[in-house]
Amino acid sequence: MDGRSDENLVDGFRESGDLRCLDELVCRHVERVRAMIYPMVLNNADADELTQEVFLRAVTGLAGFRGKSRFSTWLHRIAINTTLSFLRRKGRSPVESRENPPDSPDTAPGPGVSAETREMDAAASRALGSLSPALRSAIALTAIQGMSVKEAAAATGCLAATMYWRVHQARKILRNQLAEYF
Amino acid sequence: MNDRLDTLLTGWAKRSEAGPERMSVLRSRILEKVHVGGESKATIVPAVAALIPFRAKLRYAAIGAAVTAAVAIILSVREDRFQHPARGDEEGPRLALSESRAATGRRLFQELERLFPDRLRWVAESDGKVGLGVDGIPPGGARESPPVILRLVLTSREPGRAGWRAEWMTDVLVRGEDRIEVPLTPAPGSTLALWVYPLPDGAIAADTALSLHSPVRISTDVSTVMVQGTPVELAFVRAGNREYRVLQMARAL
Repeated sequence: MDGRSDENLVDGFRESGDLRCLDELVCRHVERVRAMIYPMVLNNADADELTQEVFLRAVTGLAGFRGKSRFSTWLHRIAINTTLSFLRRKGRSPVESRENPPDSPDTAPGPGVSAETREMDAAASRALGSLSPALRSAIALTAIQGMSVKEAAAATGCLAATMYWRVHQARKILRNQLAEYF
Repeated sequence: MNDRLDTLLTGWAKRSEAGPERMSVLRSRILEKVHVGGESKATIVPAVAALIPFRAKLRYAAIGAAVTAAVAIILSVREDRFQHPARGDEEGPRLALSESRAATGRRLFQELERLFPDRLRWVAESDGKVGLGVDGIPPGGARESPPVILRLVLTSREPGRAGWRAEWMTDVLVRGEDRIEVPLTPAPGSTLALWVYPLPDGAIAADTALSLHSPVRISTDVSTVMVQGTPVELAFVRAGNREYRVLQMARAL
């Protein structure tokens, strides 16, 4: 089963209800989904909850997945829209980063991470937290996830021109706030 | 592009990733939930009675009459004020999804949500009939996404002729981001799977998977971003001596 494509696993679940197909899909994509969500919400608990919600929505919607796009594309779209909806409900004001304390076991830097890097990471968290959800999502999808501006615009349902502006504004703000680390 | 900023951000993201223990716990939680996800999240229900668990049927039977009365009252009000599009109507203003229709839909949705607080999934009007989709189990968390009315119209014409005319139409009222499946009236087995999302700029994104068995077989799965009230073509087919197309339009309620 490991060698099967995502689309074959979807078909396998739909045809036979084989939960192992679902398990494989979850295991394959959970890290990437969470990695997409975290930079937008800057909070581990929220990222975990949203990741779970994304997969529940995906399972519920599997009957309608027709294979016109790749499964991962479809799943990532659900992740982005679920997260944007969450951010919209939290309001438009910049979100204070509620990151775990630096010495929390699952965010404690690994060996070899210098104090300067830890300080830079803390500054990056604060800078990202100062952005509005729209700007933070724009920079997360482009600079971190590596989407093109057009891909990010399509994923979030805005015009490409709007996404270009958001990315430009986000970069300007982050460059100012993180200048000492360049 | 600022490579240094990108490098800083990607490095930050990498170091911010959840550790193995956290991912292991999260993975287990998700696997546990998805194994029952299809049960806890009601997928599709053609009618109230089919959706609601047996033990709740007695309770809802008592308000079934009230629902019927509410819908009948609202529909009668609507009929007094607006001409509901009918089979044979030509494309154009008669089939358009007007703001006044959206206003009526909003009233209907609100009335039914009051009767089924936190349980109403969708309302579908087609061929003079109204169907409801209601959860048997209340969903977790409040649904705050604004509701949308989405209209699907199947029209046909003789090839090359002007004048597309309506064969079938349905209006679906649903909250944004709630993926639903609706059984359709044209023929048994016809279904509509729908997910809509009102966008911040006023447009409406929709994922529409339509499977029609009658009067013509059409299967389509399309993602669109729509300007409110402006029709988009989802499908076009030729069958026999006629051409058919499916139009979709939507408005926020």
